[in-house]
This record gives sequence, C-alpha cells and structure tokens, in this order.
Amino acid sequence: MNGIVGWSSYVPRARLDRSALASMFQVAGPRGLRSVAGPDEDALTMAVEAARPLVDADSAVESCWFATSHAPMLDRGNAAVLSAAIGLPDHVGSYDTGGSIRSGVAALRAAASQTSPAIAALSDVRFGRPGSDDEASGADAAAAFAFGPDPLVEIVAQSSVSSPVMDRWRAEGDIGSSTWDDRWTAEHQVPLVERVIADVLEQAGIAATDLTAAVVSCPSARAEAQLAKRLGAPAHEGDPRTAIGYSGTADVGVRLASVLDAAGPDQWILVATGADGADAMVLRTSSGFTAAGASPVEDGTPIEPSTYLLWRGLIERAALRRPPAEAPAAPAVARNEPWKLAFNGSTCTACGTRHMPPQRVCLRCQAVDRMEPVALRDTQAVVRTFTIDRLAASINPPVVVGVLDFDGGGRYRCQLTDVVAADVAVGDRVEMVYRLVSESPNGVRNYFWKARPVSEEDS
Amino acid sequence: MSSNKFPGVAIVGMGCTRFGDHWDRSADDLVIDAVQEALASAGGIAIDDIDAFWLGTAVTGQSGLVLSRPLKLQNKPVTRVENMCATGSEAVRNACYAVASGAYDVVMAVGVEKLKDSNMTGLVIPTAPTDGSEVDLTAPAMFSFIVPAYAEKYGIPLETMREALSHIGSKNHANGALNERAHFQRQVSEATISAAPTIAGDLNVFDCSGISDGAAAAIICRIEDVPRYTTNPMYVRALALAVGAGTGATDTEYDYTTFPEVVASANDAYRQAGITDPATEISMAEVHDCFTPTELVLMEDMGFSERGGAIADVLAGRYDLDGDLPINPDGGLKSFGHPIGASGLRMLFEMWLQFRGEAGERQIEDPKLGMTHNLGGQPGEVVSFVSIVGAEPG
Repeated sequence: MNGIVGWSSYVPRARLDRSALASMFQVAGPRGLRSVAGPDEDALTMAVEAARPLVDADSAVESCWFATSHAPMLDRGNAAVLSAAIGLPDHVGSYDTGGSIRSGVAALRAAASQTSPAIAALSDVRFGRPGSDDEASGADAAAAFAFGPDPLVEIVAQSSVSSPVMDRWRAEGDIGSSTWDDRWTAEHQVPLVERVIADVLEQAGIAATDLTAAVVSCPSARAEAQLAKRLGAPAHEGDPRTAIGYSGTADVGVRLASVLDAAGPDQWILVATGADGADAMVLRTSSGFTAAGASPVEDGTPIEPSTYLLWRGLIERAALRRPPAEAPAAPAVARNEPWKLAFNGSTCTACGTRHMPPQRVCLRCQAVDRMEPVALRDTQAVVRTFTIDRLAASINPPVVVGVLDFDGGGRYRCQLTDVVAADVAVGDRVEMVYRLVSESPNGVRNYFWKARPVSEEDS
Repeated sequence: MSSNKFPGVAIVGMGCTRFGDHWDRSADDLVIDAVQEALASAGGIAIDDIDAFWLGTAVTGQSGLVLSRPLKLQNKPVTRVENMCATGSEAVRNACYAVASGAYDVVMAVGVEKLKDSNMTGLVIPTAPTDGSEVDLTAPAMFSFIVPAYAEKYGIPLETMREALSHIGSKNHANGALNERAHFQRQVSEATISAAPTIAGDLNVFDCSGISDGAAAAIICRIEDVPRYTTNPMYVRALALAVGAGTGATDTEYDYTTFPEVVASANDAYRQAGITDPATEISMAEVHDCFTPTELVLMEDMGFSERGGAIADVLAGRYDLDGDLPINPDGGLKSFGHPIGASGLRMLFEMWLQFRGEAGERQIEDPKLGMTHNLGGQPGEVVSFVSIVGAEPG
C-alpha cells in the first residue's frame, strides 16, 4: 500500500468577514473570516494550484484522483483536465470521485490503495443559501497529496463505517444544502466517528494520548467540537478550519496538510471524518521525516459581501452590450493541448527564441519545424506593460491584461488575476495560474492560464 | 521591399456618403448613394460601362453579391475583399492593379460598412473558432499599450502625453466640424478630452474613432483614358501594402512605440513615387487615427517627425489644418467616423476634394502630393496600406 510522499494546499486570497455577511442578511452569524474563491476560480482551478507542486519531471504518477462536492463540469471529467494542466503525461489514469463531502476521503483511499504512485486532489467551493450557516461557515480551498512507496507518512490503520444519514441534502443545481436539526446530527454522528477512532487506535496499538495531532473534520461544527473535546488530542495551532472555515470535501486534506507541515519524525497522527458515516486513519511519520515548518494560512485580502455575491453569481451584473463569450473549439483545444492545458511553449533549436504559443516557424530566424517544447507554467515573468480594458465583457471586469516577459525569454500577453486594477505596475513580478476565462452561452467553461502577482512571501 | 515602380492610374470619379448613425439607411442605401455620386462626378458614366468592381467590407456581408444586389449589376465581375480596417484601401488597390494590368479599362472600388444595427458597444471583430487561449481585448485596449510604452521610451511625462493626445483629438474634431459629411461635426476642447473618464488604459472615448455607417466609391482608369471622364482627375502615384508577421505580442524585442509595417509600407510608397523627404514633399495626409496614440506614432513611422519628436511637433501645431503638414483635414477616423470597409476610400475622397479645390473651409492651399494611410490589426500585428496621390500624373 502507498503512503504519503508529498502534500500541498491552496487557499484563495479573498477573505469575507462573516459578521458583515450576516448583517447584510440581518441574521446572527459566526465570527471570523471565510476564504472565498476568486470569480475565476472553482474546484478544478484550485485543485490545479494545490497539485502543481507535487509534480516534477521525474514524476512516476500513474493515477490522479479528484474529489469535490461542487464539480464545475459534469459528465466530462474534471480530473483529466487537472491531470493535463499539472503536466502529467497522458498515460496517467485520471478519475473524478465526487458529489459528496465524503468523496475527499474516497480520493485519499483510492490513491493510497494503488500499487503505483498516485495523486489525490481534494477541492471545494462551499456554497450556502444566502444568510445560511453553511454559507458563513464554509470555506473555499484545496489540498493535494502524492502517494507512493517509501512514504514520509505511513498509513498504519484505517477504518470506516457507512450510515445513510439524512443530515444534509442538495439536489443538482441547488445553491446550497438543506440540513436536519444539527443536535440530532451530532447525536447520530459522534458515536460513529468514535467507533472508527477506537478501531484505528486499536489496530495501530496506540492510545489517544500517543497522538501528536488529530484532524477531526465534520460538516457539523457541533459534532466536530464534541469529538475534539472527548478525544482530548492537542489542538493544532493554526488549524485552517479556524482561519478560513470548513472547506467540505477538501477540509480533511487542507487540515491534514497543515498538520503535516508542522509535524516531526516518528509522530502519530489521527485523521477522522464524519460524513455518510465515518472514516478514520492513523498515520505515522517516518523517522527520516523532516519538518516542513508550520504554514499558517495567509491573512488574505478582504472583500465586501457584495463582491462575494457577485463572484458567486448570486447577484448578476447588467450585461454589457458586447458579444457573448465564444466557446473554445474542441478540436482546436485537442490539437493545442500542451499549450492550452499545460502552458507549454516552444524553443527554436536553431536560435534559442522562445515562442508562446508554440510555433512551427521561428519568429526570429524563420527556421521551420526546428522547435522543442518548453514547459513555462512554473516560470515567473515581469509585467512589461499592461492595460485596463473597461469595455471588454468579463466575469470580473475590468479586464486587466499584461504583456509579460518571461524569465529566460519569451513574451506572452494575458489576463492578470487576483489584482486590483489600480495597483498594477510595470515591473511587477507575476506567476502563472490556471483559471476560468469565460463561460459561453452553450455552457462551456473556458479555462486558461493567467498571471497573478507573486505574493511577497513567495518572492 | 521589392515592388516595381507603379505605372500610375487615375481616379476620375468619387462619391462618399456622410458617415454616422444612419438608423434610417441600410447598407444597400449607402452603397447606392456613394456609387451614384461617383458615377455623376465621372462625367455621368453609366454603371453598365464599368468593367469590373471591387467591394470592400469587413463585416457587412460576404461576396460580390453585397454590391451586385443593390445595384442590380448584370453579371459583372465583382470581388469582395477584406483586410481588416484597411479593407477600403484594399478594394482600391486591387481595382487600380486591374486597370494597370490592362485587364479592364475602367473599374470601380466601393467600400461600405453598416455597423450601427448591431447594438454592440465598440467594434466587434468576428473570429474563427480558436482554442480559447487568446485574450479577448477590445480595440482601444489593444492600442492603449502605446501610451505608457512611448512615455517610458522617450522619458515623456504622462501629462505631456495626455496633452499631445488631446491635441490630436481636438484637432481632428475641429477639422470634422468643418466637414458636412463627418459623423461628429463639433469642436471638442483639449480640456474636455483630457477630463473624460478612461475606457481602456489611458484612452477615453475622445481618443477613439467613431463607429459609423457609411460608404464611398471611386472610379479608376488608366492615365491615357482620363479625358473620356473628367478634366479634373486625381492620380494614384504609389500603392503599398505591408503585412507583418504578427509576432509583436510574442516578441520581447517589440516595444509598442512603432508599427514596423507602417515604416515598410511608407518607405515602399515613397520609393514608388520618388519621394526622398516625405516631411517636406507631402502636402497633406489622411492617416489611420483609429486612436489618438496611433496618429502620434504614425507621424514618426512615416518620417514626418523624428523618433521621439512627434509630441513636440503635435503640440507645436505642425499637423493642424493651418500647420506645415495638415493631417486628417477631413476630421479623420476620430470625427469623420470609421465604417471599416469605407474608411480607406473616404481618405482618398478628401484628397480628391482637396486637389479639386472643393474642400471648402478645409481647403489646403495648392497641395502637391497627398498621402492616405490605412491600417488594420493592432500594435504587434498590422496590415498597413499607403497611397501617394497627386493632381499631376508624376
């Protein structure tokens, strides 16, 4: 069985003050901040951000598992897009597990049970009906785990129990879930989770007091609080649930990644979740494990409740008198997959000039068919010049477009994202991120790479 | 460039509708009006005597039928051409070559565009299906890249850039105010232009050409046949077209302060016409002022101003109607308007009026050589057309 060999998480930059949202709807709401996906982010794009750092040129990944309760695409899989965008080769099997919150655990278990290296990406955009507790307490985030032999973190024991409990439900297309009385849910759920916890501790031959850390993740905050109290495990400093809220399918992953960042060698870690029953795992860090260092969630950028509602599509701007977005052509996307999905350009082997998108004829020396591919999604660039287009239709006007000169050569002109238009300056350093560009009337979601300012902590 | 010396042809009749919001007129109406005026000015030649037709339209229809249907042409050769915003010039260019080659004796070039039935803000440029990776910019945003790039390259404060751009816009509005065929016939002060809210980069609505309906037409023959039609022709002395490789947006060496295609097309035209010092030999020019910074940069690309010197020349009034080298005496795209397929022909129409002494309050004294310049595309990927015209065959 595979163990964990790598992990990474992604939290979008925007933060919404829950009390501001609550006062807008004139309801009582929880305090604190929730994370909010940008208007061009969804469960797929966040999964790309989370999983990207886990892939390198030597990657021997054979399968890629994606989980979300809010899949941006149905019928057509999200995992295949994720796999291509993070640069995995086409022989990687890519699979969606989805719909339910528990599918996060499903992806982890699927990747862990492979006999070859695998990636699990857990991502969620948590909606709720306006003014609901789900809306206020939810968070948008993603986490990804690489599994393989010779793990840094071994899965020592796991246990599950299934219970078709009607604690929450949502029909396809609904904004948010409906829930049963949380007191009943907690009373039903807590014993189930306790049962699997007891089972995995026994399997591992340890007591709760041996645990260095525990992740207990439930849709019901009440159930989660009761479990944490009874378990008595030490609280994790900087728990993302406190910092950004409950991220649904991704929650167990985001919080486990945070625990692993802060972990040391030879530690016992419990992971327990309560959804559609309960799941638990006992993890053991290897003796060679070196601490990555605690990684508290960044403070982020505050947004107004009205911005949140606009981004979510819960209120709609008046349409500009501009043509609707055109859907990309399927054959063109297929022909240009290395560019369109993975942001691979080409380099002229005759003169070294980089081309974005890849070309057959060199723009500098006109050599024909002397190109080799070059992966550029992880290359930073500098804003050479830019413009703010207030006339163009966009999911997030105004459109800010930068002319980017990439480190090591190559120029490309693309949208900037996660920016305040007035703050963009020539000379800004940017990195590429996979984002939603447009949604066409026929329902096609057009994704492509955009540039966002390199955050000061990363530069 | 490797074009041969152009043998020269003559324009012996022209027509041009008013450009503007023609809510009450169809593309067919506009074509008929422009063509009738052109025929009348060529000594009343009958349309059946025209041997062949070139129609320029970017988005108003496809094929020669766009022209033959309204005019009820009876099995004439009609070619529809398109070269983005240089479409009208492309119709003229091909028509000129047709008579120069001897294939036809007298031909007509027509340009038309009906843009105001679309209920769209700004220009909408149809594209073939793509992979969806190219960024969707509006035309003003495409050209707005020039302003900060130019300011940075020549160390010019943005306020000074703004003054020069507003001067260009105000100048073109002032010229258009003297033109009964212009879309916008009112003066707009530099202060008003400078104070308008931006729509793309540093550009505001007064930096942008008008989106208009309109049509224009020209009748063309070989020089020896001119006496059959008129005593007052305009001679086409050079025709140049340069189409770039479209690499600017992906080439780190492109700096958004010039259109290399314009330099190439202007130099080709000067060579054909035997012009060695365009800044003094050309009396007037209609240039493609789709946006005010375009006109600024064109002054340098055409050799009218030194590199980095256009700002000073513009602010000194060199390109005003009463300046040394009037630019866009008819108001330009800015105030005459820009019905894509008609604009290249509209530029020639102003030259036609000026050489005939029919430009009224805009009349330039004793013009020798005129230039029209028409481009399509965006900085980094342009098609650029230049013609040199004169009252003498050269």
